[in-house]
Amino acid sequence: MNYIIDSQLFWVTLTIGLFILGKYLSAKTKFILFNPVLFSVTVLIILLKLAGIDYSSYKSNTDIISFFLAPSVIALALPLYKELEEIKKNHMAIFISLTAGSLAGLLSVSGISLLLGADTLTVISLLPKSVTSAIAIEVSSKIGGEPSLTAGFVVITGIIGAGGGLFFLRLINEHSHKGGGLAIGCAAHALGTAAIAEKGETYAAYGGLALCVTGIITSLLAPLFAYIIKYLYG
Amino acid sequence: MMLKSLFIIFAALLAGNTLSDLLKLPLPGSIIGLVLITALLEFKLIKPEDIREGSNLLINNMALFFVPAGVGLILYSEVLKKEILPIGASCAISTFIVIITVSWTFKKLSRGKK
Repeated sequence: MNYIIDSQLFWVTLTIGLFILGKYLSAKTKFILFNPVLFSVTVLIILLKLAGIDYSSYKSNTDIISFFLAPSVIALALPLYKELEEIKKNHMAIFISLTAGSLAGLLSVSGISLLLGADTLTVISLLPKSVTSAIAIEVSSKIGGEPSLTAGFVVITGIIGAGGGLFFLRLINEHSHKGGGLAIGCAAHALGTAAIAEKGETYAAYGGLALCVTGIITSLLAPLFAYIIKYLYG
Repeated sequence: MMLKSLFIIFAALLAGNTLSDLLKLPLPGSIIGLVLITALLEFKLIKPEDIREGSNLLINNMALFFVPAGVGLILYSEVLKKEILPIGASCAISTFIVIITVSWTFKKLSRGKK
């Protein structure tokens, strides 16, 4: 029995199965907490805890799923290319809104976490929370954060954006797939983009564009914020 | 063709990773690969059909690929327990502030060009 459970086949099948179940439940109930990523991550964490299985063994058994993460970001090139003419026409508006978004993100996440009494190390590790994990980890180590913590914060932010993003866009009356795609890509990187990409190609195009541009802008701005925080709270 | 489209995407990632490593760029290979493929399409060196099947397969299932990384949150249960309020509140509120900022700024600046 043990060798069946400790196998790629078991964990990959279980992970995909839970994801499909989450998808089914969220379509059926329209309930935010049944977001497929949130649902499958939560159930898997509970299962691993209950069974006393190490994350490292789950991780190596599901590497084949994670492998497709980076290629899926590259795949966003296709919807992006289809919108390229439109994007060129609007490039200033896009660049300015994404810069404003990155600034708002850095300012609010550091302000709120400091206000609520987080550790300086936690605050600095939170700074790159809105960008795709590969960039976030790089930025975090460069600005004196804790890269592994940052990886966790990136996932939390992504899940919030994936679960609540569309709901929130409706709340603020944003019905344009362009503005909405930019907003979600800027706030919640590829995970947020993944959640809206299935709702339309324009979402995917603008989400993909936003996560690239935001990644670059944030890697330039985060060091400044880290410097100020360290200066003030040493 | 599915296989050809996946080959092109994987090759772009490989090129992106190599460039990122050789030039010590602060950008991950996936972002460089995305830009690379977009450039190849724009300069008509590849056709959209060449990557369509693989791209659609990957984009349609993108959220699934995050699940193993998400389960990694299990490693931070100590920190999360201790600082759940500042972390949870700042991530959530900040996410919504970013969404409002981008959506509002873009709406103002691109007015009339829907």
